[in-house]
Amino acid sequence: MSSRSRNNRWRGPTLIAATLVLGLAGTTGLRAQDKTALTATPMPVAVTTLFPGGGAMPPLNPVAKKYDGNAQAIAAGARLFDWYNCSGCHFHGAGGIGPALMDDTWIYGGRIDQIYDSIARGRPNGMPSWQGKIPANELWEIAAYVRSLSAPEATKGGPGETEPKPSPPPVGTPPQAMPQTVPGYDK
Amino acid sequence: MKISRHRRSSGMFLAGAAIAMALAMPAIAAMPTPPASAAPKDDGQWPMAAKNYAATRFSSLDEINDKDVKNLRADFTFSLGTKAGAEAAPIVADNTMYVITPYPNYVYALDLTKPGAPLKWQFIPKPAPASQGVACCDVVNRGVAFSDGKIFFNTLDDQTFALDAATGKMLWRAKVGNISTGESMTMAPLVVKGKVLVGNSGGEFGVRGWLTALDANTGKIVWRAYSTGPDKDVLIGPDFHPFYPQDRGKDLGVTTWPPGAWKIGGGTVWGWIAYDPDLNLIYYGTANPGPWNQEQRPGDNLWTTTIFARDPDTGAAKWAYQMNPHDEHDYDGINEIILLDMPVAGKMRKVLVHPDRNSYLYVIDRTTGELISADAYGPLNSYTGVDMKTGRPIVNPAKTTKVGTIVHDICPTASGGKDWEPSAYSPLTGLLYIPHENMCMDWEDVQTNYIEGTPYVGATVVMKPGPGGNRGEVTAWDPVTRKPVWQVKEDLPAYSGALATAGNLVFYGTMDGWFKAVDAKTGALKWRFKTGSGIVGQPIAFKAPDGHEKIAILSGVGGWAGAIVSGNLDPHDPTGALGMVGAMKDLKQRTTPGGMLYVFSLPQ
Repeated sequence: MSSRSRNNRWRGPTLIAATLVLGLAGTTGLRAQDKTALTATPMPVAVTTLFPGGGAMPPLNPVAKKYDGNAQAIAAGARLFDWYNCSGCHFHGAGGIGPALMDDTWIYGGRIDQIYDSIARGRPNGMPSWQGKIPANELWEIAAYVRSLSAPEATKGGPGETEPKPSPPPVGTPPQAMPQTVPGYDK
Repeated sequence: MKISRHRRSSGMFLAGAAIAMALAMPAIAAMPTPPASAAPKDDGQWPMAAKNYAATRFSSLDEINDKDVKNLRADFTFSLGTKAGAEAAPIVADNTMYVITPYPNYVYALDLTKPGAPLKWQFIPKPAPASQGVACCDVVNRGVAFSDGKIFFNTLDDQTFALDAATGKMLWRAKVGNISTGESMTMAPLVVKGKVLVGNSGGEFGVRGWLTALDANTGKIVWRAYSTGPDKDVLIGPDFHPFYPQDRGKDLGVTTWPPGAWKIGGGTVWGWIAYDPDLNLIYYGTANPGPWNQEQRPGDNLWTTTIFARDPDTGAAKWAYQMNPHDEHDYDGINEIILLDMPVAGKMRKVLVHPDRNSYLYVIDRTTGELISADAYGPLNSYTGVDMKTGRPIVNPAKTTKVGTIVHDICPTASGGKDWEPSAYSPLTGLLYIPHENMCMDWEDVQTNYIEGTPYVGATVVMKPGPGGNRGEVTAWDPVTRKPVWQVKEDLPAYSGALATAGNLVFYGTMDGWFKAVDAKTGALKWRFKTGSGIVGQPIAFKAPDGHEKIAILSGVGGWAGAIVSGNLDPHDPTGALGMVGAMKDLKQRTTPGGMLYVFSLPQ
């Protein structure tokens, strides 16, 4: 697969993502303030609780803290979760092709930065790597939403937050209902 | 378990039918019979998942029978070392039993000549772990195939392997698909005339379906027949003579789709293949179109949910019949196809019998592709009938699916009136034993984006028990009278294959772990054994080297219906596992995961 065709493959979702950013920028405030989030990669996170010789997970970095439990981020993440087909594998939290996200079991850690890391870098048993495909701020929003699926009520978000619905409505309409040229099949 | 009888005595009825037929046509036997070339005299082996090319899953062994089965006991067991759904049929050839596990697709050879059947060899193919992320419905595998001293199987990451059956040494491996485009492989290969027939899975990932023939000696691709696209890709040429006019025309695999949509339109080939050596034709069904959201793909979407008859030498299509034009409910056409020669309106016909996902049991002339009959074997409201002139189902407009509307109580579900779990046919009773589901669903189409290598579904589905509340049934169906003879109701979906034997027995397993033997004529329970986990495997019978009959089954819950247990899913979201979680909320309280082979015999 050439890099050109790879770009083509991602044209659809990128357009959608761009629409989302424009549509939401005015309402959340988060995106405008937090330019660094678009490019920032998180601190390396541990996915274990075993630290030889002592130690612990470092505290959340400031970027992660901004998104964690943020109502608008969670709401945006819920829509992106459908948009990028996360719900195709994890459904609305039950899991199916991928593991359940609404239970209290975390294979690679349930902190927002650990969830970010799982989405960005992928995991070996079937989780794709999304780094470079989904902008960092959207990865944080998806991570915030995923964490909200199982987090205790108190940490689910601030005022205005609503319970994740079984079927979050899509944001707007896609640029085209049916791809005119099928991405990835330009051979 | 409840049994309902649909007539007083099937034995009497069959005798009566035989007499009537004998009077009408003295030269013709009344009982449907598999063609001898496709179901040769039983040698006590079980070399392919469906037992023979006619796919009868019938053993003529009768040492274990309705009189003595009460004494049946576990002979030996063997741990598979895996937790996912164990859907494979154990294979028996040359005094050895061959078992493949779900991912990571371990292959074990057990020496049947020694007490306890010790491990003879094991093969670890090491499929890419990432392949688990593109398997829609648990990381299953449906079996190996034995032919000419070789073992053939597929791995989840799209490889076909050939091993030396005696030593387990690898002879060749062929990479036939690509997980990054959403392709996986779960089906059991069929070996026909020195060719290994394999197909892909991934109808929920925007995959383009195909069936491929590999040279059994080298693994080189001999031909590949796509299920969608231009005629040259589908191997439609001058020999193609579909019975119905709507299936004639150039490049229908392109023109029945929106522009380009056929390239990601599904029609995968993950089920069963039958073969008629006399006609030199293979038969198989293609899976659902993608995405599930029908509004994104107006048109008939050929050649999805279609039975193809093809020349195994060239792959050239001979005829095709589409069960579900413009499928709106994920009614894959991959279910088993059983080859029978049987009387139809006073004339012997070469037919195939196919209990489809859409709850119709199709009887089709396997020479021409003409539909002979289509009868509902389970609850069905998505269609109101099948037009016998055109062969097309009559759509019930109340159950068509839409974006933005939840359509309630569609029967059957996306998993079907029955799913992949194969039926068995006994030429002694003339009955087809169909393990199936009794479930309905709510469905809402949602707009979905195609992102290569990720799901391409576009539907929010919640399944539920069907009429009566029992989620499963085993139906004994008479293909001549086109009626059920008896039905056993099961609380959980009947998601294991069936085995029929000359001992007047039918074996199947339940998703809470009971392995059962019932009377083939009445459905009465004759024996049962509680295995360690729910059963979604395929029972077989074989003659062991000591001369005695044995029965084998894999236990290990999973597959689509059991994914809530094998995948440890959360029951609070009923849309999980493509809506299956809604119907299977209680399964975690009924069974736990873990694969194990069980082999049973009579005390000697």
